[in-house]
Amino acid sequence: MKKSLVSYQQLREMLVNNDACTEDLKRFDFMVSRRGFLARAGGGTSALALLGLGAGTEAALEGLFGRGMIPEAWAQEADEAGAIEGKSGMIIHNHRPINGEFAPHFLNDDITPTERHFVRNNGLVPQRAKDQNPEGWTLTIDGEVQNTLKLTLDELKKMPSATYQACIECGGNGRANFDPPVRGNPWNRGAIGCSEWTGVPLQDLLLLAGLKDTAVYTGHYGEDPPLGAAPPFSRGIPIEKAMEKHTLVAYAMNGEPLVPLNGYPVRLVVPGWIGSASQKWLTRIWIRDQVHDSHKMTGYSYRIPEYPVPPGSRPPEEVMKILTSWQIKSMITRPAAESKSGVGDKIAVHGHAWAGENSVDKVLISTDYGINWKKAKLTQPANKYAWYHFDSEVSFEGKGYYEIWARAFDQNGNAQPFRQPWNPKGYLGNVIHRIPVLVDV
Amino acid sequence: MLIGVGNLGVMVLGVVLALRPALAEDANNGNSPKALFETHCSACHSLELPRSQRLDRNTWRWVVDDMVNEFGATWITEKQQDAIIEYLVKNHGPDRPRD
Repeated sequence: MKKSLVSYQQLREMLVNNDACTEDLKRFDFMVSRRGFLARAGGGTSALALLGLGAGTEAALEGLFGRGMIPEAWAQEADEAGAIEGKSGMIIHNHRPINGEFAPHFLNDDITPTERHFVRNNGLVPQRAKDQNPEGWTLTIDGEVQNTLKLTLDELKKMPSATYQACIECGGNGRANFDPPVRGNPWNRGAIGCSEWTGVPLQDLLLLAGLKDTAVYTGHYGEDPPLGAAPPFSRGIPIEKAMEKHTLVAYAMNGEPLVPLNGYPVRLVVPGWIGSASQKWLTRIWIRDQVHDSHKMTGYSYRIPEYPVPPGSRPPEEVMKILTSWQIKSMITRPAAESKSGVGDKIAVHGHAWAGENSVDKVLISTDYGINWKKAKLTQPANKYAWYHFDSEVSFEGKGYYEIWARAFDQNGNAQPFRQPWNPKGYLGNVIHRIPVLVDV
Repeated sequence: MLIGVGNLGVMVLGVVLALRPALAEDANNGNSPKALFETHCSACHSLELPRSQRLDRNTWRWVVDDMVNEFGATWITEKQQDAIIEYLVKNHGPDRPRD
């Protein structure tokens, strides 16, 4: 496969093959993520130019990379931007609270590595998590139960465990595609991960505590200090979802203890549902005799109108309903946006699809703006709520600017929309994913 | 307990911030809409998020109302809120290109 010399991947390989230091590799990933992301719309230029380095200096710059070095200006910019420990290459929307995602081509793995899993925080990272010290931590399950439970991490780990691959996706993932723009972190595509989680099924704990007949909903609490005078971040789920076997009280991610940013020592994993259901730094599950009525369950938070509203409008609070599961969606992870290719080159297309509580029926690929479609090869998920993966191959018979589109369908025939339907806070964005490709230009 | 400490912290911060614009005004630069935005909003969160937004006046009003009423930024006076909203609409409105 012929490609221009200046793809991001090739630049990185030049660094690796020429003994670049680890710090510079981290800075490179950070800069690719930052520049590649911001320059998505600018077609017709080389990767180096997209990375902010002037056209015409490619030869000299390739020489620099070929000696295992990165431009000094990059080192400074990456350092000033304060790349976050353990999340190299993350596009950071905010440092306080920390919110960051990865560009789709960073999420190519079947199982999302911990260092590539997005971070969505509402408050600060608890000191216990930073210290990774479980001493004094307990999980309380109380409310509408026969016996209040209080468990230490050791006690939890001694119980029978389950391990599943599970999608956790921020309810606002895709918000950047809403028009007119809406408030909130401008997540593009990367506020999703499908890692492998290990923990105790929540249903085992609820059976142990003994649910009363009055139990209808959960309310989750964590130990992350809120910002300012914000109320503690808390959401909940119906008892039926809490009793579903894939809902975990998780203490391990990809076979290791949770990292501080993803909820150490224990978090909920409520797969297929919007990420805020999967409380991090979990300390209490309050079993309620009514729908949980915390701040983040009411008003406009994590809620959408019952009916479609005109873009840019804000319907009355009474018509807002609580968000639950995600809907049909897919993401192309290869090739990367702005990849260059030659006429007739065979380009491997790879990506993931998922469908909340539903199953993925098929993924179609188009290279002509949706006029013609072909079915991608679909690989089944490791378990319910894990990613499906798709593969296809495309090529272009003439030079120019093209786009690769992916469109997933669930088993009920629901497909991703061509234009993003609008709601006031930009939730559940699932518009089809489009990857620009430059062929011999 | 954390919540209590957090509230106290914000109250103290609120008092300090309420004094700060007055002090800064002596230096002839602290009372600009930009300074009000940067001083008050960064008390709780970094400014990257508001700066990344492109919102119309109604939505900025909604955001600021939430910060004051839901997230405890009660020390910001109505006059200051209006100035901050004016600044945000002008600099981070829907017609401004994304960075």
